[in-house]
Parts: sequence; C-alpha cells; structure tokens
Amino acid sequence: MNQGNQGLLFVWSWFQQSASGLRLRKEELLSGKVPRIQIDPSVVGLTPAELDDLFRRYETELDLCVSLSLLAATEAALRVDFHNRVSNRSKDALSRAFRQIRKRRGKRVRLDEDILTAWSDHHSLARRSIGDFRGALNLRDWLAHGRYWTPKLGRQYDSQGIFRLSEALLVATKLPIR
Amino acid sequence: MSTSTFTQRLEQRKKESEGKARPDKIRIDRWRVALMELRSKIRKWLDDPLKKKLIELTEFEKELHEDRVGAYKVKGVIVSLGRQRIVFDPVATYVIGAFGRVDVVGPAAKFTLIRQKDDVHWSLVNPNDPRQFEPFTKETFEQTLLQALG
Repeated sequence: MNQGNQGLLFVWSWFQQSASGLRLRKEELLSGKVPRIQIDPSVVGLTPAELDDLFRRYETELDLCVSLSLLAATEAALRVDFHNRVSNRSKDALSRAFRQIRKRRGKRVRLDEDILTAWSDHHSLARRSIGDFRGALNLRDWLAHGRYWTPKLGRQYDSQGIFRLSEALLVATKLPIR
Repeated sequence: MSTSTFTQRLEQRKKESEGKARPDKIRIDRWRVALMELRSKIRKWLDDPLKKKLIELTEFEKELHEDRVGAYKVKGVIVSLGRQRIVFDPVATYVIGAFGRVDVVGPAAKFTLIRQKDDVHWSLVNPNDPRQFEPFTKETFEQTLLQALG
C-alpha cells in the first residue's frame, strides 16, 4: 500500500500547530514589528479589523481542510485494514466478508456501502460509531468536490467533532490511530 | 495612602500616558501631511480639467477611529464629474506593512492607495492582483479615475 497517508493523530497535531501558528502570525502582524519584506503583499494595507476578519476566514478554511484530512485518514485506515484482511486470508467472519466484497467489486470497493456495511454487520458494538462516521461522509464529499453546492449535513461539524467521531470509529474497530 | 501621595501618583501616571501618546501624535501629524501631499498632487494633475470646469474638486473632513490613537480628524477629497463622484477616502494610518491607506471609490470600481513605510510616495494596489503595487503617478491616476468612473 502507498505509505503517503497520514494517521489521525498526526493530522490532528498538524492542525493544532497550524492553528496556533496562525494566531501567532496575526499577533505578530498586528504588533507592527514584522519587516516589510517578510509581509505577504496581499495583506499590506489591511486595518487591524480587516486582518482579524481575514484570519478568521483562514481559521475556518484550515478547519475545513483538516476535517477533510481527518476523514481521509480514517478512510485510509479502513481501506488499509480491508486490504490486509483480504491479502492475509484471515479466517474471521469480517475478513471472509471482505474477500467476498473484493471478488464481487474488484478494485471498485466502496467505503460506505461495502466496508462500513460489513463492519456494521459483523461488529455490532461499532455500529454507533459507524453511523456517526457515515453521517460525516456528506461533509467529505462536499469538501472534496469543491463546495459548489449547499450541503445537507444534518448537523454542524467542525474539525474537533470530526476528530472525535473518527477516533471513536478507529477505537471501536481496533484500528491504529497513530 | 494619603490624598497627596494618591494625587502625586495620578500626576505621574498622566505624565507617563502623555509621554506614550507622543509618538502617536507625531505619526498622525505625518499621516495628515501625507494626505495633504496626495490632495495637492490630485489638484495638480487635474489642473487642466479644473480650469476648463469639467470637474469639481471638494475637500471633506472625516473622523477616523483607530485603536492605538482613538479618534482624530483628517481630510479626503471628492472629484465630481457631473453627477458622478470619486471619493479619495482616508481609511487608516495603522495598517499592516504600510504607513497608511486611502480607498478610491467610484461608481464603477474601487481602488486602494498605500503610503509605503520607508517611502514618501503613494502606491496603487493592482485591483486584479493585490500582491502587485505600482507607483501612483499622473498616468496611473488618470487610468484609475477613468476606470472608477466606468
């Protein structure tokens, strides 16, 4: 498998460092002590209130990007596990179900209909976390496809909520959080 | 604490506070000078249409509120052509990475002028790419005015 994917904890830590970096940068710019050459020209001329507003938008954007990364990291963990169970030919019911799915779908295995449904069928204790994670997949699609429509999400999400529901799913399925 | 000690302390605090305010006062004075230079440049560049009574130039006073200095008054200028108006509107001196900003607001477009920090000149922010600045000269002024009018 491609090792380019990052684990949930790495993404969460990256988010926290980036958010605190943004806050520090805003304070630094407001202090007036940053040499002109180190200031991004697109913020030159902004009043403190405008800078505040811009950085609020940056924070929202970061939150959305991180939400997508968290969902993607969780999907990667589920897919890596799927791949391992198929290739290792484990004898447990879930692994057998996964091999059936692979036979039926080939390379077009779907996260929601295939992997999550199999988990839900074979691990009743994980059903609630699977349901919560499934609810957030509309957010993932909306973010991944450029947010050009008004999403029907059913509830408000932020990166912290996404982290919690992703973490809960990985804990319930005993997959690595990293 | 005795009344006299308390009063002395207040006097000391007042002195400190006035001492702190001085750099801000110098800055506001320099900002007003920069705005005055801008107004006189505009008047000079519009000399011909003004003589021909094509346009009118009106100065106006406005109050700015900035966290660091509180409220103070500055002057802007309005260029009128018939019923169309272009306002050279001072926004603030405490802006990021520059010494001050004036917005140029016309019926068809809005532009931004920046007074650079280490410079006595005004720059025009490229409206299509805010990372680009060009010197605010007679030529760029005329283009700006025409585009702002539409």
